[in-house]
Amino acid sequence: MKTPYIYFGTKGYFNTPGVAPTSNVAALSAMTIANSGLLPASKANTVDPATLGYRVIHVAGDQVDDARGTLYTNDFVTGALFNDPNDSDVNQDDKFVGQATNLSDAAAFITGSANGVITIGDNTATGGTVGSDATNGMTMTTNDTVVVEQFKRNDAPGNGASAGELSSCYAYPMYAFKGANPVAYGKTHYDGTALDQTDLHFLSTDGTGTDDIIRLYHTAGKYPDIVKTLEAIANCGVYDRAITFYDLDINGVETFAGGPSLSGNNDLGIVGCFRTTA
Amino acid sequence: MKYLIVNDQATLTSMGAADQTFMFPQNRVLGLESIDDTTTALLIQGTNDVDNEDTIVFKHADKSAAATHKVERNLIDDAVSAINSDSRLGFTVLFDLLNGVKLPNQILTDSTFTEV
Repeated sequence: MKTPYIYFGTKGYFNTPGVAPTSNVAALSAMTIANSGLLPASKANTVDPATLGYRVIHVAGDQVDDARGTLYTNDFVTGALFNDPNDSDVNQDDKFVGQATNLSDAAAFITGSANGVITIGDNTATGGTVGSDATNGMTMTTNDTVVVEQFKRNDAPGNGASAGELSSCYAYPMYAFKGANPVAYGKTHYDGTALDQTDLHFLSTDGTGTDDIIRLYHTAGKYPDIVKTLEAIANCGVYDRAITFYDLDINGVETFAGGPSLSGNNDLGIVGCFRTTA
Repeated sequence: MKYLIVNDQATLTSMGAADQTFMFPQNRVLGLESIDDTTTALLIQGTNDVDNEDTIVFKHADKSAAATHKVERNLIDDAVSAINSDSRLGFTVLFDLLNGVKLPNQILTDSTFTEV
């Protein structure tokens, strides 16, 4: 009995509220493989985030003067300069609601040893255990949002099959597909897009009576198209290769099945795709 | 129904024990997944325990190296093509150490079959 196979690469994604700093640092809530597909390796404040394969994006939920390190001059999404001419002191360290800052400096944040906790330093001159300062820190409020987004297959996000291994990938025969379950999520991506969550259930590859869950974070309202896409893959009649639903390679190149037409574009607005078990 | 065969033994005299040579139907496949940067597993429903998995290990080049980072993805395509093969013999050999048969992107050395 021939059957199409569906392939999933991994893109970890974590979307969490900001945390007000204590003693100049703010520890985010913990990431796990189950809640984000991420369990980063330890990162000191000397490690360039560009080498990690994931980035930390701060989105302002409050307008606050003198809260952002002066190193960060441009919005990560729009590319626009931060120094808003309507601001009273016209400084780029003043954050306005909706501005997205890529915490790209080595000393902006640290990560614990496989405990899933990213700690962000504030922008005071004294710094804290993170070692941030007025140039690279970010003083958050609880109305802010932080998005941790994997942008290439790498060992640093900690979502390989074992420590120090590249991100995992999975392929299932479509007869193992058990169903697609929409799950309440209600969060917003750093570009302002409302997001939903859908869990794809497959018979477990370990043969037990449990299931494997491929978790998708995607543009809100796309659940019907996800179901139609899976139906299209199940009936595509392609048997000599696996159909890629989503993939992210070591160069950051993404591959999509697309929507129900299998267009190859990101028609579903996928921002995260991972299995909830390593 | 087509059947698949694996053999991880290089000599005829050592093919009789468990974890060596095996034939299974193509609809027993549970999935394929990474084990590490040079290993991908084909997991099938257990022979001796249907609530467990038998593991067929495909070794391959290092997927973390720039020159070979697509090898695991391509190997999965190789495996899917073989599993779904229309072989008129009724069976397809995934790999066979004795006769040097393997998938295009597979490294035969240390590729194994293990029963639960």
